[in-house]
Amino acid sequence: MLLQTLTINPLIAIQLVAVVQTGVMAILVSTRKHTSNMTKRAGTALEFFERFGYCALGVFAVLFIDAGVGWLAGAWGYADWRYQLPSALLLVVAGTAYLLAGLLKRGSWITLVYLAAVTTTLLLFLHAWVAAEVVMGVLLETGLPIVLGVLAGAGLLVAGVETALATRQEGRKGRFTWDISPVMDRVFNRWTNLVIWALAVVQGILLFSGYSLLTFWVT
Amino acid sequence: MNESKPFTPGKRSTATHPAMRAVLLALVVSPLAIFYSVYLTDYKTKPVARTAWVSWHDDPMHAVYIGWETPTGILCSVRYGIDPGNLNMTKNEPISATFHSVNLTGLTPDTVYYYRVETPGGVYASGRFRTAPVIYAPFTCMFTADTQPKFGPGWYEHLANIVNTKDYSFLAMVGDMVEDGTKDEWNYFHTVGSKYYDTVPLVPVRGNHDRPRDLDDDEGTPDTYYFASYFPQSVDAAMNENPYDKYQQFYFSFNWSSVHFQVLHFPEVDLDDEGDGGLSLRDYHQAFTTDHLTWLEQDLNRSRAMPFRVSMFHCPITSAGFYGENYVMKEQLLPILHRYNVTATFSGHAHHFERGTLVNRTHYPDNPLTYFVVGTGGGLADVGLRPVPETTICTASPSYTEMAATATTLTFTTYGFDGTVIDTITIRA
Repeated sequence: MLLQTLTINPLIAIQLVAVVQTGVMAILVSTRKHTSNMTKRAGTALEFFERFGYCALGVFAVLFIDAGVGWLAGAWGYADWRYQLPSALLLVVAGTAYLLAGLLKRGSWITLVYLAAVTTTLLLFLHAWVAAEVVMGVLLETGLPIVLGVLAGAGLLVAGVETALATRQEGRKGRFTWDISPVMDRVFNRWTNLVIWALAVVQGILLFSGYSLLTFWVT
Repeated sequence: MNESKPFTPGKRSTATHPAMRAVLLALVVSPLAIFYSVYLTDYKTKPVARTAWVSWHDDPMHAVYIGWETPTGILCSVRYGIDPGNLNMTKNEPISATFHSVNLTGLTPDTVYYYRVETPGGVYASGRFRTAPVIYAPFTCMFTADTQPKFGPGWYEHLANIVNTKDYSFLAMVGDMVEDGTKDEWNYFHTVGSKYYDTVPLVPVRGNHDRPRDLDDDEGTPDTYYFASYFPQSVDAAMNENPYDKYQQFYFSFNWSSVHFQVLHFPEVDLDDEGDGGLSLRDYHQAFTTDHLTWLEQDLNRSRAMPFRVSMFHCPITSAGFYGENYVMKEQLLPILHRYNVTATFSGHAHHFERGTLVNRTHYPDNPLTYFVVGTGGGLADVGLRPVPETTICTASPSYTEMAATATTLTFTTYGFDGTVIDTITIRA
């Protein structure tokens, strides 16, 4: 039985991973570890953008995991796995990293509601709405940017609410419902990010020419 | 609010010097930035390819044509013969041209010919080809489609390198060789094609991207129809009744060994007729013209004695790609293909590989039609796949499909670029 793999193609998705991860790396290497003498307002703004960044990464994470799992499940048995497997695995790993080290590292019930909404929206859009279209490419190409835009807007809202709550609860215990930063920062450290970035960039470049990380040296 | 307060946003770089951070930032950003900028522009700068290709209209046993392009209009000639050291026959062009096509007629079947395109400045291109056999001799050919540079050049060059290592009787390019039909895209197509043109003839099928985007010239500046310049038409222009495509229809057929091949033309409307320049259902649901369908039936009727019939047309009747099913083709074309027991069809348009079976259980239960979608020639891949009930296998990775024919069997094998066999099937006469 053929599984429907109507999701983002690994070729396109891995380019997204490469671009997003380049953005993550750019932020990691260009901002300082500790920002001293920062005003409270600047700190609040930074907190807002950080939370929004995590929300955006959360959207990409769902997209990447869906594509990775979809292609692993649907295309594994009958595809040129040497070409597609590295992309599928990278998608799952990068997506998981963005979720755990970003959105779910610390948060509140708002975070979970947002993640549930993102997941539901994207899965319904890709696997129900678009899949029901006669010419599904049209809706996919025109609708996905809109859906992503709406989710990004919701992310702005979530980031704003969480930042406001955090600012109000400054100094109090339980600023976030959970905080697993120490563990996540150890696992998904800068070296993990560097490896994901390097693999995604190389894989993204190779795919355009019909190669992959697993086939480049074979042929 | 203005009081200073330390803030720790999270794990960040330990590089504290601004210059060091700038260097790291450049190192991180530059690989993709440089790659994309070079990748997306370099292929558009190729000059006219110094190469020549071999193709034919309807009788590759006795006649082929050699096509080539020169940067300026010049008078050329073709020397050819069966002894590479003694090309004893010559065809001279009557007038100077930039787009050249010389018919070589009176050829002997199943014979290797060598040719040399000569200009006043010397040898321009050379190669060899084998004419079609009279008997049902084994042969191998290849099918691919959609080499169009949809987002950068894609992997057509990789594919061309593979073709160059093969001994195919011909390569059937089932449409969409270019994306926008611009000159630089065609230059790139032939530049890459020159890797195998000297040994593997090309059978072109016109895709929707191969004709000018502005069919009715309502944009003010008529597009140049390069496809017709490279691959001269074989159908009488007087037969053209296509109301949507003022350009001549491109269809013909030929026999090669045990197989009757059809190259069909599928018209599409001008994309900009829909107002916003986007796609619409109408673009996919244009009917075949009456003259085309009449010819199609007559041609299939004439080929009833052949063991196999293979039809090639760009848009698939159905597929797992995001174009889905084409109702008009299913209603107009498919019954004819079933009635005359066409063995297989090859299409592109959807950028993935797919094989499936179309069965008419009511009227022609004994004439199952195997269809192939071979749109993995380099124009990147579909964004997703949605297998239809007729789908047997589908995958959206780089691949190419070979057909090995004998008098009684056709074996279709699809390979990944690393040589992995993705799919194989043998059909008996």
